[in-house]
Amino acid sequence: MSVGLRGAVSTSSDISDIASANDVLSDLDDNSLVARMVEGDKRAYRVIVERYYRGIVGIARRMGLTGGDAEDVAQDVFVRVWLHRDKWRADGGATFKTWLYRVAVNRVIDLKRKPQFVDGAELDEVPDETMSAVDRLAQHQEFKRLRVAIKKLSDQQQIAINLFYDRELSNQEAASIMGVSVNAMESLLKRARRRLREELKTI
Amino acid sequence: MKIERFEELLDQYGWDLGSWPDSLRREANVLLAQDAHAAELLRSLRSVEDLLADDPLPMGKHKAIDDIFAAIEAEENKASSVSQAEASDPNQSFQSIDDRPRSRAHLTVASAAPLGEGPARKTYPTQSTKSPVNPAIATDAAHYNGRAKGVLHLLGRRMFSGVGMAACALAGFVFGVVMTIEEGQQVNAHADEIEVIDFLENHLYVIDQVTVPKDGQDTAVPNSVSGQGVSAQ
Repeated sequence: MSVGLRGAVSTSSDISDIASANDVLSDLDDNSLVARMVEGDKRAYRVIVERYYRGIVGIARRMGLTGGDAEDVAQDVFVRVWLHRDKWRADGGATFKTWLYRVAVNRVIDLKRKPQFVDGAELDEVPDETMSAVDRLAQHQEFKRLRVAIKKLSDQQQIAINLFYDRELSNQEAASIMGVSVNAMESLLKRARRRLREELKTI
Repeated sequence: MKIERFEELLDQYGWDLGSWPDSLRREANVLLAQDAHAAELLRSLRSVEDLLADDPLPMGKHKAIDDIFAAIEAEENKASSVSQAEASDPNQSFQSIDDRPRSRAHLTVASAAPLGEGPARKTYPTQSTKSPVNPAIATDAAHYNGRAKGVLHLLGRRMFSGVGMAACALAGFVFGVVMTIEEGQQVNAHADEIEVIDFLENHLYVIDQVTVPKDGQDTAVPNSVSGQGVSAQ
């Protein structure tokens, strides 16, 4: 009985230790977490995944993937990054975040080039439960219109628009993911906005 | 500010006037207050911007993250099981597609002569005293110990190697000289023969010219053909 009690006490203390360790990890910046990840620390990598999973799924969805495909891409990206973590070089000129997004964008591009790819622009969207049915219908129509217009942009313009309007990314990060300068990114965005504005007028 | 300039600035600075330079934003606000078309344009573009920036997923943890780590575990288990299988049985799954030796140990096993009964070779023909792959296999030399201690064997190994090569080289040289001399003699003989033939042909031509009949029944044919005709007559 006493053994059981001691075991129960030690188990609860272990859980609290793990929770406090996770809190400490959550406070670390990307560089520290990535350094731990490279050494094989899976808990540190879990914090990274929790930090960027939403953004990776978001960019995959904005680039035209359905919800299931976007989650598959995110899973594939995070599994690959873990398995090839020894290849990460901090002095490569990109932050881990931009490198992760670049891997995801390239993965989405690869997927979209496959002949069996089904464009998710008209298949699904995230329902907002707080909206009324009428508002949801209106948003659905607007969403469809926007996706149709975006599809008429060039690939580069689509990626630029999707990265720029990602709330998780700064302009500098979006440019870095695309591998261009900030000026080139703004020029690309200007052309993309004009084209999108003109397309929206006709739809 | 005109509407065309306003649209150009929208393309350049984005659809959020908060990101515009101050002076341009003030001018744009004046236009928006006066022009309903400009205000409608900005409103529609802002809604597009909101849609683009809309977060597809709520914040927080997702079951999908657990799935990611389950997939990582599966990949790692798969990789470790493959490496263990390769370490424990190097012949498995390799020999079926490629039987080239991939290690010194595998080379020894693969190239060792069979030891069982049958027509397979049981000795190892080599100059070394024992088989390099399996010491249990007897060498051919074991069957020739008597000869190995004899005079012929000694001569064969010590003498014939150097002297034999020298003798072969000398024989080749002599043969070449003899053949060259013989060929020279043949050329001279051929030249003499040509002179004789020329002499005979010229001589017969002269005879041929002399023996042509007067009635013209047999026309003169030059050279050797005519010579045959002469002899037939």
